[in-house]
Amino acid sequence: MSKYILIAILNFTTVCFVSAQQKKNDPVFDNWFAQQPQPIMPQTNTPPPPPGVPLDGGLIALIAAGGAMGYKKYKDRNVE
Amino acid sequence: MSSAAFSDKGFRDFIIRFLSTLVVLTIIYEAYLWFTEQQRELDWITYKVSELSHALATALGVANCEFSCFMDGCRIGVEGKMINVLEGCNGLMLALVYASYIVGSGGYKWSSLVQVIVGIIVVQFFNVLRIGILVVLRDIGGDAYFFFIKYVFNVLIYISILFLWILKPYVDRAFEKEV
Repeated sequence: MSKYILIAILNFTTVCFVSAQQKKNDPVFDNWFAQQPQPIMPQTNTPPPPPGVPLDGGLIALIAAGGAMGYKKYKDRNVE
Repeated sequence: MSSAAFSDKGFRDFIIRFLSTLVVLTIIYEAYLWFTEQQRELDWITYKVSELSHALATALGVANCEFSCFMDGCRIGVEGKMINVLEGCNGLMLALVYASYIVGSGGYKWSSLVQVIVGIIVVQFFNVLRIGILVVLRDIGGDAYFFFIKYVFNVLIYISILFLWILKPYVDRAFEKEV
């Protein structure tokens, strides 16, 4: 029984120690769980790029239309 | 279009020619794009379409119309109201689909080659007109720009391609009479 109490106390002490170190921002275990301080980046005032004028949106529809026109052409030829 | 349609030899040959031409032309075009990307340059077609659109916009009265090109595309228009002409805006993929249909339908003939060249010029003419007018509309401002960019011009170009396809049998007949 005393063995379990000893392990529990040891775990509790370790957790307390690690959390205390992390609060101080000390690199214990490379400080994995702590929030790393973010570098301050200068805010650039770059405007968003101008809008594009795409044309390729209906390519599949155009290919399908080509297939349908070809089908109609050969179907009409067979009827004649 | 039922599976019985593919038993028709004429239609089957058309589909094979149409799709194989489209695949070959797309591979050549993609290889060209890859090559220009390796050279860290913009492709010539996008550049020329942008340059002509800029000239058209200037001719249509856009004052201080600027034109600058980068690796991914060209920017045209007045400062703060520019539009971005990227590779997908140059209309060449549409021209390739058009050309594939002409070859698929007519076969590998001189009349097909002439129709392909004329069709590509027509598609590019409409595209330059589209981008030039879009620059003007963006300069003027308002909602008209978004309406035109989203619906009017795209529909116009697609209809022009369908119209050229419909005209194809008549053009073929004219070529046959000449010969």
